[in-house]
Amino acid sequence: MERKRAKRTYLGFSLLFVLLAVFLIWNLLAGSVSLSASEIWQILLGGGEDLTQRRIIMQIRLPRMMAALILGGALSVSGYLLQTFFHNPIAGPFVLGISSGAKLAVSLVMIFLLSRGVKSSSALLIGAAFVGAMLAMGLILLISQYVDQMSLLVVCGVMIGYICSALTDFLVTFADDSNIVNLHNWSNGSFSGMKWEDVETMAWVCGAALLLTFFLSKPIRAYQLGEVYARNLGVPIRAFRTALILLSSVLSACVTAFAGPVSFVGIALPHLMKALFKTAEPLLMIPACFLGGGIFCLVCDLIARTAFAPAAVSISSVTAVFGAPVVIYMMICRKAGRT
Amino acid sequence: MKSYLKTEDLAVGYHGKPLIEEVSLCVQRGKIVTLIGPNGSGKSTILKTIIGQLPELSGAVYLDGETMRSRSRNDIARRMAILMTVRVEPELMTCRDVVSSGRYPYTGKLGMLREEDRKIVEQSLAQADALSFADSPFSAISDGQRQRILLARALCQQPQLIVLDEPTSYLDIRYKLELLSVLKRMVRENDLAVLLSLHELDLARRISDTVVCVAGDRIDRIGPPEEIFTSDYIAQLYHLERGKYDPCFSTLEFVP
Amino acid sequence: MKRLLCALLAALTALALCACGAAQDSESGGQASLSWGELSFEETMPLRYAEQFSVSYAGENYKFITIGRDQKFLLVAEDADVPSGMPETVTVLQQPLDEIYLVASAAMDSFARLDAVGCVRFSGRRESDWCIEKAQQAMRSGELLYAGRYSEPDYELILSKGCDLALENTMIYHSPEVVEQFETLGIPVLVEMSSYESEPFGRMEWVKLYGALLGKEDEATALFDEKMDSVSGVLDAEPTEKTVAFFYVTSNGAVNVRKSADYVAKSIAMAGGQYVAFDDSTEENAQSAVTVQMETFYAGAHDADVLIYNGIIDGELTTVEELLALEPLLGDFKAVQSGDVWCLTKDFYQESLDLSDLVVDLHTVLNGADTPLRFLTKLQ
Repeated sequence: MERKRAKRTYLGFSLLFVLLAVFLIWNLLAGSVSLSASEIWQILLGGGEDLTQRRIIMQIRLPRMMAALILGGALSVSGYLLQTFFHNPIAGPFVLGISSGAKLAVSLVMIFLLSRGVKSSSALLIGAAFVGAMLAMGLILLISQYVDQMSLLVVCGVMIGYICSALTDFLVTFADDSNIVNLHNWSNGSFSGMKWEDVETMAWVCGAALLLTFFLSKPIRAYQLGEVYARNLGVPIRAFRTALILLSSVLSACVTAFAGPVSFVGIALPHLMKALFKTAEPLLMIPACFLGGGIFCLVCDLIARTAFAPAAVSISSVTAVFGAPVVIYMMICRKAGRT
Repeated sequence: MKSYLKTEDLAVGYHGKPLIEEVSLCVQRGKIVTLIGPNGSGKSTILKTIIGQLPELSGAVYLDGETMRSRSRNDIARRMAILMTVRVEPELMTCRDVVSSGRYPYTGKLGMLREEDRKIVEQSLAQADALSFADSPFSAISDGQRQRILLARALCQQPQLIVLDEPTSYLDIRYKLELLSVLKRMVRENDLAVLLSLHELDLARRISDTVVCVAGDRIDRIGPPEEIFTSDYIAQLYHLERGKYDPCFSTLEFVP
Repeated sequence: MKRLLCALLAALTALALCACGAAQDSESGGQASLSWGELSFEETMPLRYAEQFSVSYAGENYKFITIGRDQKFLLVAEDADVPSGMPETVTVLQQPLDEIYLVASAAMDSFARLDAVGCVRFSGRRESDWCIEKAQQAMRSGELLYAGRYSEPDYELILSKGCDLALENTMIYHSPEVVEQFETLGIPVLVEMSSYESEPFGRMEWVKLYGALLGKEDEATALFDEKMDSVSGVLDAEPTEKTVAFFYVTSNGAVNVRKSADYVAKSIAMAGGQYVAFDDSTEENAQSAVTVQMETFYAGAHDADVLIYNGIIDGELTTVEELLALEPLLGDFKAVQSGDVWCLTKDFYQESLDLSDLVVDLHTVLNGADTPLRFLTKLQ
């Protein structure tokens, strides 16, 4: 049995690495401008005489790819954490109202600051989205101190989501037409316009969060048996809850801040990875979800930017088209028999 | 003999309201103490408070001479294991995975099992008579088998005390007997202290060294089975109106 | 197990490091004989109404353009050198500017009139979204390429075909990452702020800025003067007493009206009408509208003499029935009963140089004359 498991693990990760390599290369090769593989290889090595070509690869394609990889991975891990924590298969990274908080903050900035002529920078909007998301998380943490049943937190998260959306709609009534259009654009999510500074920031933030999450593998594993047994095994439940909410929120907030709310990745990918590895063990699942989520977003972003070029389809549409059937299929499987 | 688990004037209840007060019981190593009492009398509440799921409203719980509060979580985990009525629904775990989780207090930062951990898992599975289905998915086995797996899991913690809450409730008679005989054997072999609650009076009479009667707002009596399991007392404890308890056969009689 | 995990981590780190080795591109500039400090801008372009931009000249070859508070450009003639010691706050543009990415649709009209559509390489709108014939033609023939929405431009396409200027409008401030990305790619960005002009004719006068960018100042000035001449009669005429309401019905049944500082409201005033306003007329924001409830609109506009429906947003109306289908209450309005309901056509927004024609149209409508209208159609 152990050997069978180990084999599955090796095969699974090999598959993921192969897919990762394939889609990284594909993303490098694909775009509105066709560049040959040798030209791209030259540029990656630091050479390449044509400035335009170099810019296309180094300033446009590469940062976008890295962003899709990191943010897709972050979403997937966040979804895994929340599904495990709430023992709920349709929990996702935004179930605690994170993206609604971010949207409210962005709408506040857009409507009040930008219309007064305050010059904006992408850092301002990113910062606002992150702060909004963190405030929503803070509210959830506060509520979690007073509830015993974790399922209530999901309800609270949904309610916070509704409240933030309602406030946003309220603000929109004071907005000019242009603001409404922009808010709608933002809500769809996009990996367009990623720069290296953005990639660096998200690498640090997500990297730190992922590392900490990885070190939580042991208590997460214990928690999979339920809170009662986890407590008996010595897991500090209060601290664990806080850590889990914090880490999953930081991951989702990071994605929302840089790319807007990207749907379905966080819900569907953990299920896919569990089906692939036939285990829910966090030591395996955390890296697997990261890789799987990264690959998934690379694929979806590839489709989003090349399928109807030069028009860009929003990333959430693509992830939904691929992600929703997975979720439905998983639900059917689960109901029909034991997984 | 010194008791391994001792409660001193413990008050238990929910949301600050005491349900049962002045709970003073003790369990020694190598002995089985059973809680009996009608539904809703507070047996589970007492057990939940002892294992730390509910806060103590007043009084103290002593584990091997020191209060639970003063011991670290890891320390408690190495001394006390549990088997509660809460339904365990782990995703994609085999029985062996479930049992292995009992090694949590002993494994390193990432929780990976070493050779010695694996050996102990095997031993526990053997003791709980569960080796034959150790590699099956946990969700695919019967209730009786599940209880044995959870028992094996508890054993992996290498505890000195096991607390069980109605462990035989959903089992048929074969599994009831099997589980309790495994328990009794472990008490003998590992010198375990066992505290459990039971509905089945015949079983309680057979396995207990001491019986604690929980009566809804207090502990009514503590004593050996012979003293407790009399016709009158049981009828009084369980508020039997129709029918009576036959102490000879430990059965219930219907009054026509 | 442990080894596998370590390998994983190492691989991911390696990947990240590899990718982060992005070389910084440096532009090599030629040695200039002239320095920024030596340039003296003595002549300024005369402007009658526009306040949001200014153009000043230093000799034949250098033009200093400012837009709004923060945008400063130095436009260098084709054969001239870029001066040394340029401050960071001034963006250098070198003529000829003939590979422009045009997102600000209000500018296309000026380009078309100045016969400079050929200078526009990329458009932020599809062919079907343009109302200007020359633009549509250029897109059909493939000379003008669609390069994605303003918020998600196709950077690769733009970069590969070469672009020397991105002409955006203020919407881009909501997507600052686009501006930042263009700057990283070495494409200068100019945000036109004609919508911030408080005087309606100030918006029209921006044709002179585009003229300066394209080196066609004379044509631009001639165009503008011609337009102003066509409307001078109207400006000097006696104002009528007629009240005019300008509105459209939103999707949830409310009414969107312009504020009194808005250029349409002011155009109505210039044409001799009185605009029915629903706000405090002390605000300065020039393009702004406000949504009011139907009852408020009813109270304020039911006895307006003329109703003009804004056909730009949701589509034009041709008959009164269509109007009443949107909101039956409008049947009570005086203007509906007397048949004085008009619709503003869609092409108005893009044909920004013909704002003067709108004023003339309004004047015609208000005075009940027979001259053909450009932008207003009467509802049957």
